[in-house]
Amino acid sequence: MKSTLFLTLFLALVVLVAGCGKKEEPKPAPPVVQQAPPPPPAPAVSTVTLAKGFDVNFNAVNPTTTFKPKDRVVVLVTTDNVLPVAMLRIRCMYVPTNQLVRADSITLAQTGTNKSQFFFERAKGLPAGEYKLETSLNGIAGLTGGFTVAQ
Amino acid sequence: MPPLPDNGGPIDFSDVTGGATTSGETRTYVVKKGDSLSKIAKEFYNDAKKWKKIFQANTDQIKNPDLIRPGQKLIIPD
Repeated sequence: MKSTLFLTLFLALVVLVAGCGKKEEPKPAPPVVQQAPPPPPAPAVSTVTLAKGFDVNFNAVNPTTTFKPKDRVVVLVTTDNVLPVAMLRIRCMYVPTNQLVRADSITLAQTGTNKSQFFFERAKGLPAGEYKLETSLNGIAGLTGGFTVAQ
Repeated sequence: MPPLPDNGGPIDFSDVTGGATTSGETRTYVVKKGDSLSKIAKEFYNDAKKWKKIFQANTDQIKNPDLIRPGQKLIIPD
């Protein structure tokens, strides 16, 4: 009986000592989170310039926002961060009657910055009043602009 | 006298003409009746005197700069 008690105490002591001596395992290092590369800058319409003409480098000649009825209206549009192929669209609305005057689109095939020009005119003259221009690139609305036709 | 929106009614804009070009493409132009190289140069470069530039880019199909035919597809250099 006495020896059993001793054996029990001994075993309990062994278990206790073994438990205390157990080293804590090092915590695993937190996983390294790979940061995704920043997304490329989104294509965007960066400038809309109205003029009566443009040169070979697509720069405005006689920039203005007021035209005479029989003037040619030239709209120069700069687009940035374009990845081929992007679709640039422009719509011209006549504000007094909210009518579509002209809509055009062009495919941009050059990576990076593109300069584009749209022009429109009316042989018998555009009606006087305010006009609104809307641009979109790949279906996403871009800059807007406006001009006046005055007698 | 251009029409005025005096009555607020709809206006026929179907006769508005226009076009588009971009720096990133090879521009072409199909010759219409009554066109001349200087007229085309005026349209694209806003300078009729630059007709030679178009002529030089299209010498394979234009031998005489005074003779272009409707339907010819011309390269318009930048």
